Amino acid sequence: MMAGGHIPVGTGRSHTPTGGAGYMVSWLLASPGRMYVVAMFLPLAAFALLLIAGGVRALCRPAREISATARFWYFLLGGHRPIRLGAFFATLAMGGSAVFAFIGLATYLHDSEHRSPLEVEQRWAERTTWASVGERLPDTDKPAAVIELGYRIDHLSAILFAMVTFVGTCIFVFSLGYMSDEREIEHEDHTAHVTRPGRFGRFFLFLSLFCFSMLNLLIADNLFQIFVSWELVGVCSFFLIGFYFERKSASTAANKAFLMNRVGDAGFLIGLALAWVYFGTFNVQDIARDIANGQNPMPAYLFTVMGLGIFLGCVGKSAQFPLHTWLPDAMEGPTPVSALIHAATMVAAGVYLVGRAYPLFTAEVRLVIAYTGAITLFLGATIALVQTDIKRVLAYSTVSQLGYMMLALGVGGWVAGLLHLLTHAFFKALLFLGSGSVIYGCHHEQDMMKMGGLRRKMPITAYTMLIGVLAIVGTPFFSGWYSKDMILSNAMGFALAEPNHIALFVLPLFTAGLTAFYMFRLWFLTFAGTPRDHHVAEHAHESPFLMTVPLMLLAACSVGIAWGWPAWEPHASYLGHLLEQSQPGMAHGLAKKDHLAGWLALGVAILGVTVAVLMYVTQAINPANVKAKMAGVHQFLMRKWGFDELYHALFVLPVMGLGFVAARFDKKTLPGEQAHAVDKSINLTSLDGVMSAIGQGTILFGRRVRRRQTGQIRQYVTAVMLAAVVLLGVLSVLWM
Amino acid sequence: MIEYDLIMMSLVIFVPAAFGLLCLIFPAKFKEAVRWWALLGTAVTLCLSLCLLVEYYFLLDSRSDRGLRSLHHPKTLLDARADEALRRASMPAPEPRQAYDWVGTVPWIDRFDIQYCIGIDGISLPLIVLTSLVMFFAVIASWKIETNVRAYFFLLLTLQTGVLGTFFALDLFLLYVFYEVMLIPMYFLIGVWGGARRKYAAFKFVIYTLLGSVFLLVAIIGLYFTDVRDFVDKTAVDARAEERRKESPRLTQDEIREYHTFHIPTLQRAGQGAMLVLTGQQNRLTARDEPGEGKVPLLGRGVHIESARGRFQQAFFQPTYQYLFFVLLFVGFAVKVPVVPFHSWLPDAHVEAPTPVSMILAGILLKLGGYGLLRLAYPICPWAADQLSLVIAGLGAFGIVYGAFVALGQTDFKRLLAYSSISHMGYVILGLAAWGGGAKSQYWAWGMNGAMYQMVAHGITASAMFFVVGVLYDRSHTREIRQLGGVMTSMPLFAGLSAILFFASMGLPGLCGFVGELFVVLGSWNYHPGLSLAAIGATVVTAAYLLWTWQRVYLGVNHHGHYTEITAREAAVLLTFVVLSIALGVLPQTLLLSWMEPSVTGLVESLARLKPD
Repeated sequence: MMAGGHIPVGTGRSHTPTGGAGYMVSWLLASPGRMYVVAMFLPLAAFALLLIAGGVRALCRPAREISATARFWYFLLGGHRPIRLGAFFATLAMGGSAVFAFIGLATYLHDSEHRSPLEVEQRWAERTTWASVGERLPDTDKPAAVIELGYRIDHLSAILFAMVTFVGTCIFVFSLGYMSDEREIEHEDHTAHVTRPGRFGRFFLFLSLFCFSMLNLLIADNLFQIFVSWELVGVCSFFLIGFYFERKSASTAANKAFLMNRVGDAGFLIGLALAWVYFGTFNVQDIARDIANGQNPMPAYLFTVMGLGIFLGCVGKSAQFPLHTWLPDAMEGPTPVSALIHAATMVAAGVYLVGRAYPLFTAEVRLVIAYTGAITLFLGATIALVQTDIKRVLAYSTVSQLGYMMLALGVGGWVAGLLHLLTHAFFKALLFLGSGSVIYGCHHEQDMMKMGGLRRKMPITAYTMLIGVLAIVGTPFFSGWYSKDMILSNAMGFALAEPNHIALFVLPLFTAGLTAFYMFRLWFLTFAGTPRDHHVAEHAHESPFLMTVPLMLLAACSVGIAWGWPAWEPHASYLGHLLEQSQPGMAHGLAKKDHLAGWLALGVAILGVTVAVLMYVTQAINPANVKAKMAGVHQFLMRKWGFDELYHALFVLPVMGLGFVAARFDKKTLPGEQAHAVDKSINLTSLDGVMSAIGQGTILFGRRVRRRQTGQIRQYVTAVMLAAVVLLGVLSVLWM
Repeated sequence: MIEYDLIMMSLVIFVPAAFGLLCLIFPAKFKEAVRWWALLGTAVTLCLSLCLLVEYYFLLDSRSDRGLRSLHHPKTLLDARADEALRRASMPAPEPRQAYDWVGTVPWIDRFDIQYCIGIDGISLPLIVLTSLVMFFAVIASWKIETNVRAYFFLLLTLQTGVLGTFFALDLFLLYVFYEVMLIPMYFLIGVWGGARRKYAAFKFVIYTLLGSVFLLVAIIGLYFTDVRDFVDKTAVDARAEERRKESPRLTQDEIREYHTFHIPTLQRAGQGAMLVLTGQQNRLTARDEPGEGKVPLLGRGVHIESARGRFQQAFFQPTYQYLFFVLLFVGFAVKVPVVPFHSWLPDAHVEAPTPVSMILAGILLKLGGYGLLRLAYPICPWAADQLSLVIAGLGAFGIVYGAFVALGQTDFKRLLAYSSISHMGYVILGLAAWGGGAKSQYWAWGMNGAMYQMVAHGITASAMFFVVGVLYDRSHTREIRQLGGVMTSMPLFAGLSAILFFASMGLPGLCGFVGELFVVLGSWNYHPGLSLAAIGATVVTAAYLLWTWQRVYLGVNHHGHYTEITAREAAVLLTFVVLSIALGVLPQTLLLSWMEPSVTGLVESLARLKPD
């Protein structure tokens, strides 16, 4: 796709047996950015293979009794059993992609230090035409002539690419274990009460397509390509949320996710249209250059609208207020999906796009971003306080953490926001996989109230998860501490500079305490104390090796991924320094390099932990009493601030109602035999009826006239006169 | 001596009808043989139309500048080719006709200067190929038809000739004849092989379409009465004057030289001339052999603007008549598209028609409307089109939103798809109505190309979706969405293929529906942001009704009995449509845009130059 137009791959003659491979290597070295293209296409290859294998097998299934060929292919591709080999192949492809990503990252870092920026640009970016309209004359740069596809590697995309492929590989491996019951020929779904064939292969099929789209999103150099992969990750998310499609709740959650994202995407599309009309290109780099050179052809208000439009897309994808309600429902999907798509990668794509399109945002838009983030982080954290489903707590925590990232970007802490994206990806993937391990060990029990004391049954899960909890809470020297400290110092700097916006610092600071509370609450309820449900506890067991290894790998990253020297200095984070290299020029944070914000946050967090310990470990405070005393608040939080009901009443019902009203307005229909009755009657209450009535009226008039034919001559004359008058009237109107 | 291109194009038009006629001589009991015969007929047509595609590509390529990798060349535009053919024919000593210019003319009814004039370009050819393709699969989908098989296939193949002829015709009268030829088979196909309310639906279809074609006929006659001698080469006018002098010596010198024609390219030039006249730019008019800076070479060779001025007093060059002609042509074709509020026939016809006929209706017949607007209404009456563009674009945007909402409220799967067609065809109207002159013409070109792309994409997805409903109906004997469910469990392959079609219809990037919608949105924003916003907003509703349908029909648990997985025959149809949806979504430039776009953009440029901002 990317380079095929320019590089004659097929014409490379291989004189020696290794010539083909050698050619491949030189093809890659000529422009090492192509490594990323290859890495991106690996999961797509796995997807295509699984798709074709599944399709051929399904095609052969009915014919297997009669045709030997069909039987051969059917059983070669697994017969009745769910596809398994394909899943391992997909995992391998993902792993290969990760290898390419790390080689690419190392090469890029080397290049960026030892080569001139121009050379780096040439080696790490390419473009090709996707669609063009109009004659393309040489040496003219006609705007809006061509929609391009292309890749461009910089520090941000290289690091994120490595993160996605690494976390992706971990999750693929984890899924091999977690989804193992999908390998059964007859799998029993206890929720939907059906027995069905397992869907092992289908799971990896969608997961591979997702990874391709996500990687494509990261290396894209233009908004159009980002939009394409944006929708593609959305559709993969749709299929994976609805993976257990026999369950009504799952398919409804999938629809909800897709539709809310579509609302965001509509905003994105508005941004795209505006960029296209005024800049004539989608290339982020080109647009940013125009703006930096002061050649912004756009009226200021439209520029703001464009920024808001693009940000609306990010709001949808990153589940920010007011489009946040889909993410917790998305937990209907299998847990590895929640870890990969709805925690580590896809939902972070919104944050990534804000970072990527940063030069397109005016100060007003950035303020909107900051407030959206601040509201979201508080909202998510408060709801997480009362959830009892282990995955829902994590889902709301994701919403809240994404809010932190948005806030950081909004107040100018570009590095802080994106660093948090990275650290969060590791510890949140870890937490989700840990919860997956718990759910797997407890035979699909997700209610924390039925757990407790599991640390003895599943120690690896418990202690890796503890690392995740410590990281998210912001314990010093854990990765989350570095990024959170940077976010808070940026927020404080911003609030000090503009005291009107003090809320942008107070909310995240307070929420740090809430975060500490609900995360420790989760850990205590699940692992500490004594078992509350003996049935669950008796059958609980540690997960297999295949699942614990990814946990340990992710735990290691959750600790040290953001380290730098000196380690006690958050601003010295090595990863942060790398990210800083691709920071847009206009992003200037007002971060205070002192530790005041960090200390404050740490204090608040310790307060939160203390409360959690008092409530769930020492039982000094009885949670039930608190619940009873604050019943109103509890109810409010349990109902998630009432957003679902509000949207249902405000949007879902009116739109559906409008649909039915429109349908009735258009045409009156009756079911079955009665339909004939509508056809024959005259009905003026619908558009169709009125149009038909004109025809029916003409026919009736014709009959009447036929009867009149024998009538008096006077009536004929009147009719002719009338007709003439009408005709003259029409003609005179025409001539005027 | 008859030219190669004329033979090839005529073959594509008449091969289906010939096969159809031969269907009738089969003994009645050889049903299977008739089916295979009909399939052979459509297969031959499909192959021939693909040959046309290759030939047309060669034509573009032979003129193209290889360094620029662009297939644009002024001489390959239909207008230029038709003009060249006319010039050669009207020379005192006629030059040999070109066998590879892909326009061909044979005199038909000399008395009225009606010719059998056909030709192809990037606007008609995609639809011709689409027609052959959809027809081929419609025949495969017709295997289940058991009653009156011979008559059925005869009508089906005659219909194909009518449709293809309409796309090929470069003579208004010929176009009208083909347009009417198509109507009668459709009436019987719905009225005889349809569902319970087939008679009503067929009647309604005929009434609406006839009303449209009456409008069309009035416009055609009106256009014929215009004296367009200034837009024709002087040699041609002289030659005809000479003939007429011999026939009727009593006519005056001026009357002899009157030139009336049904030739579409000539009428297009006259219409464009009218726009210049009406906007006070008469002086930009110049003869085609005397181009100049800022001039628009529309007049015939040897014609001088000063001598032509007097004839600009004709009715055709008056605002009223421009409006009248445009409205007649627009309404005539709008019924076919269909543009809200002329759409009422569509849900009934779709619901009652048998599956293959629904496929043809949605996949091909609706495109005739869009094609007519693109080929006739806009180029012949550009001034009125420009004046009314906001109304038309508004109708398009309204149709998008209205169709989507009405679809949301449907409970009958097939009717839902009918309304989704109305919604999707709204993009076609919006795209082509997004006028822009001067620098803005680039955006109009995107809109126009988007409209064309949308027509092709909709042709594929809509016929595929109707086939999907047909497959479901064969198994469940219901179209009520509420009575379906859990199809994914019993028919995984079918569900997988339909999923791709659902998303293609929804306009998911990477699938064909997206390309047209994106182009239209990008093009129309420049014209009117509000209308573009409506189109963007409708994408949410589109997703809503399709996903809701998807959930109710495919997901959940099947309580309605076990459905058998699709057969190889059904899989072949669906798979082809799916592959086309993906291919057209991923490689728009290579597969379609590269050879379609020069003609479409050429049309846009010829109209945009009339209104230099």
